[in-house]
Amino acid sequence: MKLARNLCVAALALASVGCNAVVAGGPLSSPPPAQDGLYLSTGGSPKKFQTLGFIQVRGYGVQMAGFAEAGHASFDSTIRGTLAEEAVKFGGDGVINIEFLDENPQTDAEKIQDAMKTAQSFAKGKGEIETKDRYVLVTGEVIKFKE
Amino acid sequence: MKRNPSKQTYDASSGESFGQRGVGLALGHALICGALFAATGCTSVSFATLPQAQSRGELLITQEAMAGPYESKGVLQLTRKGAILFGFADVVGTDLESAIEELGPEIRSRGADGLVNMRVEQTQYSTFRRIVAILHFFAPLPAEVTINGELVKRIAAAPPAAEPAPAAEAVPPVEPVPKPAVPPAAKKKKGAK
Repeated sequence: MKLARNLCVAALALASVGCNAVVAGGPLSSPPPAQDGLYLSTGGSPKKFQTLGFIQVRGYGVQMAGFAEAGHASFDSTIRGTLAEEAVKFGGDGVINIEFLDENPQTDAEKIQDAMKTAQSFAKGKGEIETKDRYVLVTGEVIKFKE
Repeated sequence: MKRNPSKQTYDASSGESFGQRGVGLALGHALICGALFAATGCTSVSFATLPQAQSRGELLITQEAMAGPYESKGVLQLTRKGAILFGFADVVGTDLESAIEELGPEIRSRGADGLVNMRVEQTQYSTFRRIVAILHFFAPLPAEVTINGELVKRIAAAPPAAEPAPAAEAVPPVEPVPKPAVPPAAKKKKGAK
């Protein structure tokens, strides 16, 4: 009886939170490119350019108890952080045709499940925190603008 | 109590018969599976149409780059996860169409009016795999659809430079002077020269 009630509650919770996982990041560059700063775009270049190379960044992070994030598995830290830093090191003025993928985004239902498991573990005195590995993959083309 | 001789004979050779029957059954199953696989093919196709609001031009959703001026509003990834029951029942909606329908509110809530350079990825199963899943109904097929792209807000193109205002002392338009009529004879002479 208790199991059936718990299952019903879980089913209702799952139905109410849905199965969507939405991950968003900050704005990239808007054309025309600024005089200073790196040009970052998922599209092409607004000016003539020379390709310096291609870059791939895989950010790794850990999600703890469903909601706390640690590491670099976010679009902002990979695209505007590591990717931009590496492009500057190559001597680039920008990165174009950026493609990105959060490899294992967590839905609200999964986050709640992890939080509940952690809470149960603490309630039993075990103190185990449910963790999930997170990965964000970003690729792009490093360019230098021609005068 | 007397045993049937024919039955006894069958029993005596039952081990061998059973082995032969087992091989036969396995071959039969393999042939059925092979025929099923060949009949269903290996290609899965998914197609999604843009909902009305997007196709009317209120929202721009495209796999192309943005042609006109725009302001970047960030990057977005939307993932729908679920399971396919009995090989065909997609109860959550992990197809492209469901994901594209979800995109509209997400785009608007972030102050954008378009998603460009969009990439899509959907879990697909062949018909054969789905038929096998009907048999293994206790193990639903995991399914997922992912859409990502750059959020943009379109900026209206600057209007063309305004024409200079007419000067205060504008010269009044000159009426065209009617050309003097040339007699046909003169025309002929000109042509002859």
